[in-house]
Amino acid sequence: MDNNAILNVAHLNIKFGGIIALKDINFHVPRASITALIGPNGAGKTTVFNCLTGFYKGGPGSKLTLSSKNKSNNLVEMLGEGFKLQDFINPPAFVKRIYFKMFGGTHLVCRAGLARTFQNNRLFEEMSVVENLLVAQHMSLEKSLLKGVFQTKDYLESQERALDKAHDWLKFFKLDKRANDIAGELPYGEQKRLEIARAMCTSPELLCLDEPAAGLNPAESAELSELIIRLRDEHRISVLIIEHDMHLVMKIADHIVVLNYGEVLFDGTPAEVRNSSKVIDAYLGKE
Amino acid sequence: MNTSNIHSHKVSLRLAITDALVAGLIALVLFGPIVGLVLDGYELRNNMGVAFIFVAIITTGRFFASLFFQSPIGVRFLEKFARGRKVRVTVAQASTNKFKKLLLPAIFLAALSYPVIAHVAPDLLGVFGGKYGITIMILALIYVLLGLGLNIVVGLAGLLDLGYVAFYAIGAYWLTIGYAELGLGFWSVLIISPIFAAGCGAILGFPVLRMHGDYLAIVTLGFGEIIRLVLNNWTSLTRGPNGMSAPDVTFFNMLSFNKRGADNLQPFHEFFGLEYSSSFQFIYIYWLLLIVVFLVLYINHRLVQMPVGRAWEALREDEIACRSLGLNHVLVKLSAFMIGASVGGVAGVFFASYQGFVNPSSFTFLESALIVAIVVLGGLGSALGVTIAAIVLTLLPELLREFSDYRVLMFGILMIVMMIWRPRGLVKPVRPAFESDKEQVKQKA
Repeated sequence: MDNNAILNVAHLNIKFGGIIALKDINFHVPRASITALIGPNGAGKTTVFNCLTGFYKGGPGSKLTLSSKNKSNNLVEMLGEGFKLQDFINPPAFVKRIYFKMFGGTHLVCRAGLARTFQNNRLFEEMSVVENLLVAQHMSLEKSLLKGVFQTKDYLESQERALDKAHDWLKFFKLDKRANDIAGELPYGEQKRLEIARAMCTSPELLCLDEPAAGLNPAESAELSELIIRLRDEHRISVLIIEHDMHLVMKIADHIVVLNYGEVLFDGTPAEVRNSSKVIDAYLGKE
Repeated sequence: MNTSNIHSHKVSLRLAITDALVAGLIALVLFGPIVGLVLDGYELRNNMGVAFIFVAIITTGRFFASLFFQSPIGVRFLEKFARGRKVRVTVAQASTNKFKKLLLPAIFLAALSYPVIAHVAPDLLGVFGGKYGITIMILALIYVLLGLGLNIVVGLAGLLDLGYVAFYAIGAYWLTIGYAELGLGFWSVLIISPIFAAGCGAILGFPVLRMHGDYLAIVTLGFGEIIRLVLNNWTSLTRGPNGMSAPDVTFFNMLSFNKRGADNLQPFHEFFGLEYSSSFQFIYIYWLLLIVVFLVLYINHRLVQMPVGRAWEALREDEIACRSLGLNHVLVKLSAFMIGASVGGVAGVFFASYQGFVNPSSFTFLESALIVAIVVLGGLGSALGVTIAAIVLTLLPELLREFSDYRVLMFGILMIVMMIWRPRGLVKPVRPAFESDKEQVKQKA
C-alpha cells in the first residue's frame, strides 16, 4: 500500500449473476496526479467507477481506501456492507454496521472527498447553471429551515459564499457568461464542462471523470485537457479519468491503468503503455 | 387545420366548412348517446333536441374558429402559441414594474375585505354573497392549502403521492379526537397538527421513500385507503361512519360565536355590540385561513430558494446525480414528505372546524385525485399556478350549478385541453436569477 496514494484499490471484485465483471483489481491513484483508466469496450472501466462511488457494492474482500480530508476512509464500509459473523460479538462494530446500513450510501463517498461525473450528462436540466452548482454545495450551506425563512445574517452569508465559489468555478470552466441560463439549453460541450464544475463544487480531493471528452470536437477536447491539467497543477486535485480518446490520454496522464475483461492488464506510464505488446494485443488482437 | 395553411394568408371558406362538418360529426357521435338518450326509470327517453343544439353550437363555433385561425391575427396567435410551448423553463428577469409589486398587497386586501362585502351587501356578489358565498370561499382556500402542500411533494420533489388525503384526514380527525378524548380546543390543535401530521408523514415516508415512481404512487395510494378504512372501522375511537363533531371555533379562546355564548365565554356579537349573525364564525375562519394561506405561500416562496427546496427540485430532475453530489436522497425526500404532510394537516383542521363535523366519506381517493389534478393543472412546482387552479376548480362548479349533470364531462374536457395545450400546467416554471458576481455588481453600480 502506497502511503502517498489518495486512493488504494485492492482486490476489488464484483459479480452480476454468473458474470464476473471485475476480478481482483489492484491499483492506486497517486495524489495530485492524473491517472487514466483505459481499456476496450466492456472491459469494466465504468464498473470500477460505480464501485468507487458506491452505485455498486464490491464483492467480499474488496478494499477501497480513500485517504482524503486528513483521514483514511473505508469506502466499502460506508456503503453499508453485509453483516459479518464477528459483528455479533463486537457491539461497537455492530452499531457502526447498522448505522451505515441505514444512513450510508453514495452521498457519504462524495462527502469524503470523491466526486464524479457521468458518461451521459446528468445535469439538473431544468435548473439554471448557478443553481446546479449551488445544489452541489448543499452540505456546506446553512440548511436550517427557520434561518432560511427569516433570512438571518448567517444564512445570507453562507449563500453569498456559495455563490462566490460557484462563480469562481464558472470562470475557471469559462462558463461565467452562462450563469443564469437553463442548464439543459447549453450546447453539449458546455454541459460537459458544467458537469465537471458541479463536481468541483463539492470540494473533492479526487475527481473521477467518466469519458469527459466523448462527443467533443478536437478544439473543445484540447481545451478540456488543458483545464484538467490546470486542476491538477493549480488546485492539487487528483484525477481519475476514463477516456477513449488516446490522444488526450497520452497527453495528460501521468499514469495509466489498462483494463481488459475485468482484470488489470497493465499499469504504467504513458510511454510504457504505448510500447507494451500486451496492451496492443488487447486493443488490436493477436496475429 | 395543418401548418401549411397557417402560412398562406388566404382565408379558405371550403376548409372552414370541412373543419366545421368534421367537428359537428364528432360532436354528434359523442353527444348523441350521452345527452340525446336519457334513462327515465326503465325506459330511454329521446332527448335528441338538446343534443342537436349542442352539435349546432360546436359546428358553428368550429366554423368561426377555423376562419379566425386563417386570418392574420389568428395566424400570429398560433405562432406565438407554438413558440410559447417550446420554452419550458425560463430564468426570472429582474422586474422593475411597480404594478407587479403592488399586485400582491392589492390581492391580499381584496381577499381580506371580501367577507365584509359579502356579509353587508350579499346581492352585490351574486352567488358569492352571504354566508353561502363565504363558505364556498373557505372551501376554495382549503383546496389552495392542500394544493400548495401537495405541490411540495409532487411538484417540487417529484414524488407522486396519491394518498395525500390521508394527511388531510389526520388533521381533521386530530381536531375532533383531540376535542373528544383530550379536551383540546381549536387553537391548541391548530398549532400541534402540523407537527403531528409531519410525524405521520415521517412514519409513512421512512420505509417507502427508497422506492420511486410508480411503486411509490401505489404505496401512497394504499396508505390513503388504510387511513380511511381505519377511520371507518375503529368505531370506539372515531365513531366510524357516524362521524365526529368538531369543537366550536372561538375568537382567540376569549369569545364564543354562539348566539348565547358557550363554555363561560361571552358571545362575540354582544361584546362588539353587533346584531347576531351566523356568518361571523365563517368570516373569522375565512380570515384565519387567508392568513395561513399567505403564510404558507410566503414560506413556499422562501423554501424554493433555500438549499432544501433546491435539493427537492434537483432530486426531481436526477436522483442519481443528487446522490453523487453528497445529498442523502432519503432525508431530502423525507423532508419534502413531512413538510407537505404538515400543510395537509393544517388544511384538515380548518376543514373540520368549518364543517363542524367530519366523517370518513370526506376522505376518499377521489379527493386525492382532485388535489393531484389541481397540482398538475396549475403547473408542477408553481405556487401561483396551483393557487389559481385550486380556486378555479372549486369555484367553477359553483358558478355552473345549472350544468352540474355535466360536471365530470367538463372536468374531463378541461383536462384533455390542458394536456394538449399546456402540458406543463397553467403557469410556466421560472427559475430565480442570481447576481452575486461581485465584479459585475460593481460594474453596474
